[in-house]
Amino acid sequence: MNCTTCQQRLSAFLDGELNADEARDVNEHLIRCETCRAEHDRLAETLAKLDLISFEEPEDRVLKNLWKSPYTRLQRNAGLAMVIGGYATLLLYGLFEFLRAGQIPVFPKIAGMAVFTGFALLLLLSIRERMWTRQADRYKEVKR
Amino acid sequence: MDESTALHLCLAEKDPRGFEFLVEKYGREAHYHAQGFLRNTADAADACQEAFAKAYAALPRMKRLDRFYPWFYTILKNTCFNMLKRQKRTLQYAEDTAALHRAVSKPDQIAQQNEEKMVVKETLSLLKADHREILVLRHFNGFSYDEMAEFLAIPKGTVMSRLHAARKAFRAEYERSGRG
Repeated sequence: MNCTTCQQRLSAFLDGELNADEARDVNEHLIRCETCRAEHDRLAETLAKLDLISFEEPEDRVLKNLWKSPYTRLQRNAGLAMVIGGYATLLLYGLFEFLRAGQIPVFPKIAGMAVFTGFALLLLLSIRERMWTRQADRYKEVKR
Repeated sequence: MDESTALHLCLAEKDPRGFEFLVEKYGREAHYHAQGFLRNTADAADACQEAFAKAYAALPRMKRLDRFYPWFYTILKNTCFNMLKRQKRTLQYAEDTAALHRAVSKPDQIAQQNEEKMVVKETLSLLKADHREILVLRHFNGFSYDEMAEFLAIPKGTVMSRLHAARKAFRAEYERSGRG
């Protein structure tokens, strides 16, 4: 075994992850090579330092919020869907009744229809524009 | 409730109580791993929240899942990497690094906060994300090479070489900060 191979395997050797033959080869090389022995000792020191890796203990409040977030989001989305769905249904029903009503002359009906169609058209246009600009938006990942 | 029951509740019955159990079981571990990728606990909490929200949204589309955490870890890791990208854009990393070198050069201040652990943690935060990741899995979680290979979905040989490179990178940074 040469020094390069030995040093590449030192990590696994120190972790006890080499098979018996490989470990024996590394061991034999270390006995006769001072350079690799020094590298072995330095790496062992590094491993001892790395065993000190620690993280801050998250507070219970933080851990509880991990769940609250998706759950609240689900409730909020459900609420939003109900509001939008209900509002759109009422609007369509109102328009339907408005167009169907016999006592209202045709002219206001056409005006009402134009207002509604214009509103829907503007909404669609702004959605389309938003989608186009989003593709080229350099700040879309910036949190607001 | 155990993990398989919780997964069954999530997948078959779309019951949020299953997910609640999984968040309770793995929240702390996820927070530690997010801290390994990111540089402070506030960012780690944000990343965990975002990752759990993504997982919750994606879970109903899964047909089968034997173990939750390895699947969730991929989501968490991607979320952390995206956050790191955003931080890089705002030059946060450069500021953090500069602040860190200033901190490391004042041992008397660090000594009050368990100096050696602090230096190890700060040195770790200077490494590349994949190096930080493998060092955390080995030295914090105590994973074997086989476990890391399965967890990261990479060959065992890659685990060996990546871990070795990560340790050398750690040592180089540690010595550069004047500690070695």
